[in-house]
Amino acid sequence: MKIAKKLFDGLKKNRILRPVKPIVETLEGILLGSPESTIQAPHFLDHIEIKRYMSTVILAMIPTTVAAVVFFGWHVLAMILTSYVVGGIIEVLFALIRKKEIEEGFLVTGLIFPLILPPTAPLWVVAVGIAFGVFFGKEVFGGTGRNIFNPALVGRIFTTIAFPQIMSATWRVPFSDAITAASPLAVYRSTQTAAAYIDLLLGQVAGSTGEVFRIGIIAGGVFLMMTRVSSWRITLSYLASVALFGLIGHTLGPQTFAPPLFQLLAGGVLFGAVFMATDPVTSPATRSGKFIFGTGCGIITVLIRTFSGFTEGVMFSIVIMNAFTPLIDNLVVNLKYRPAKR
Amino acid sequence: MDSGVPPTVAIDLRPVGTVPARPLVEEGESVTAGQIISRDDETLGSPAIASVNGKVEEIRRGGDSAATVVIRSDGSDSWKTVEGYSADWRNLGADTLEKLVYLSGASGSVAGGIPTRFNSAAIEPGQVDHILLQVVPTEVFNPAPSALLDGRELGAAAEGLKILSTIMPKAALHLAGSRKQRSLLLRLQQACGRNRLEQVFLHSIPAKYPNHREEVLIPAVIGAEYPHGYSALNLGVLVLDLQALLHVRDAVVQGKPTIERVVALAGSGFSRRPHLRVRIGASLEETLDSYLEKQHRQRIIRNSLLTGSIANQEAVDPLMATVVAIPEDKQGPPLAFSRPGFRTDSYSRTFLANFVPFAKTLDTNLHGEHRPCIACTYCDSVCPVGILPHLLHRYVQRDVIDETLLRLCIFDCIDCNLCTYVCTSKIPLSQLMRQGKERLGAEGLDPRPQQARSRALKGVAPVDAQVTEGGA
Repeated sequence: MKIAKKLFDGLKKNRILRPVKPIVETLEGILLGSPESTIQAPHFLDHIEIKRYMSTVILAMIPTTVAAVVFFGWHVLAMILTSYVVGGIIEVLFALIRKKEIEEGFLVTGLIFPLILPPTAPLWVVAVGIAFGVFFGKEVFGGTGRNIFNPALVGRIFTTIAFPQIMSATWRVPFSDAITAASPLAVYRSTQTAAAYIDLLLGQVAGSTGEVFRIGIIAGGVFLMMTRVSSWRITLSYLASVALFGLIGHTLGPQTFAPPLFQLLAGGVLFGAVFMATDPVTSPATRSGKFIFGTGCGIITVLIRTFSGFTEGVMFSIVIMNAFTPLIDNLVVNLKYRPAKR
Repeated sequence: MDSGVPPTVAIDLRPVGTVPARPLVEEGESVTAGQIISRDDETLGSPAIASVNGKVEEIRRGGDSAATVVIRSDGSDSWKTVEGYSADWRNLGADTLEKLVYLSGASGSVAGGIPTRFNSAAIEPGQVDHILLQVVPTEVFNPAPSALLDGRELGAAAEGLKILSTIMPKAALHLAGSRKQRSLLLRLQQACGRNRLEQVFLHSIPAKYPNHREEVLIPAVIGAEYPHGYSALNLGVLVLDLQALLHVRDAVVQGKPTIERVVALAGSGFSRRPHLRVRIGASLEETLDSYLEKQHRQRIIRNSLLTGSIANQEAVDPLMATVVAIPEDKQGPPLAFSRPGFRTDSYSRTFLANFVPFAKTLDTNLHGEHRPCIACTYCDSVCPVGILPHLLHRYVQRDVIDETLLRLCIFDCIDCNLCTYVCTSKIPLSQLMRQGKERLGAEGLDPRPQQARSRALKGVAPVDAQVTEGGA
């Protein structure tokens, strides 16, 4: 322990290593913990830190990640590794340019991105997508905490538009090599038949790598809400508004709107509501703002699914609501703190 | 446990504003425990009392016109009764009681002072509308009421309340405690009844930090909106703890000057954790030496882990109730972020400590690195006054010091430091908000004096003619 501490102290002073000092400091932070102490009241601090916060999200994603590898084979693991390596390089480069420690938010982005791609996505698409997402979704704004849009979704939208054939027509059903163009939402749109709910829950349908094992996603979501890492206000209001808006639509126009339970279980609603809409940086900070945000995501999701050329609307809905986040927060804060009465 | 008579004591004479502190003794002079060594009835404050018998060894003068009287003790533990003391205290008039409370130094055992006609607090005794005894255990560590009573019956506290209500005849009496302290409060209420105090109100306050703070306590108990930036006394409320009340009682019933404090030792830095009876002015370093854990360097903190100051070099003062010692500079275990954490306290529920009943560990480490704010909004959820630290700190960090901060109620902040405690990114939020308040004050944007005038607070400079029609 003491030897390791001395080693890191030596490395930090080393002149040759000076350009990569942020990396050394990050490693020290990971391996040895924080070397700093409080200097004034409060004299002790909460044990939560960003590393713990982000690791908890990753922990919550483990069931669906493992399921993705089991369902779709080793290619998924290769996709995750590609995403971490390529995105990691960009993250480290920016840390070196800024002379700041590497920020942990990337750990979540780097895992979410491959999980929202089709299981057949070639590795080069993964690399291009994550590079674009990290660079334009996060680093150009100044890094974790300053970005407006969810970086994984920026990458996903870019790849969707740049490579439409790969991104929307090459789905696979777990444990089968047959390529199909039909995700359950697309099937419903053309034939009005909903996939069996049990197949949706267990993930025996076509879909993005991480979105199909829905029992695992639900478990992860409950875990995140219990640990206070994600906001139950966003997740539950998102799901509730999809269900409610779907129910209203289905009652009024059963031919156009899919039934509400199918809306909830098909596609990326669960994954989005649990892991992406809840990103604290890009979602509102005020309590009522979170409800507005979740509700907005839900309504836009159902609208896009029903009326647009895309069969799935989760990613667009979250990105659109991301753009509204500052406005929502501003509105809520202005309502709560009205100009003082004089 | 009595820590005995210390070899030397250092009694601080604090200046009031720019008025220098004037000692009434000279170097080399003999003093007795209970003797007044500094008194100034013109300025706000209470007399300083010699806490041991012995000789004045040195009078240290601080740069800011403060002074410290160092007394070398002769080892004897007797004390001089307060002037005017009589065994027949129940028949004494309010005048004499006030004098006893003031001359014993007991009036200085409350932060803003106990009002007497000797200018010991910002208001007069007749202006006190409520007396509030609070025993709510809200800090991480709290002195136990039984240890403060130290063998005395609860009746002693009731006697104290009787004395205060004689001095402040207009005041209603309130007792505030947690739900678990219900039986204690009920017994105290009965004891008050035996002292012919019929109307004593009981208040149940959740045992949660920072509910003991006047800013939170007074709205909960009295129902009045708190004037931020002023003290409870300005509202006509005297808030005191059990120890201060017992000082008042001892001064009147036994003629005992306020020369000692019962101090709870707490925190993992101590190998033994008794309640210590210590003389005021005794050096903490010497007093605590035999109780400290020697393996680590320990940080000694005065009264509160969340708001207290570092007191390694300090002496016991008349407001000290707890000393906490926690290990200094302790590096976290390797890969701390990935451990289950059976003993690591956290507002988030990401550690097993939230689910198992093990004692938590405390140290001064940051437990993480400084990062930009990710708006996890833990600070907003824990804020006891319901403001938004995560938003306010951004304005201060970006040097936007203007009316926006006022609109977001930055002056409602009571400096409880909870936001800094929970911050995931280790941002010193409360420190930044304090800076924001100071800078607003420097720009003349502090709205509190104006608000205070319109509310006609007690003990605040008289109302200007042109703002009398106000009153929001």
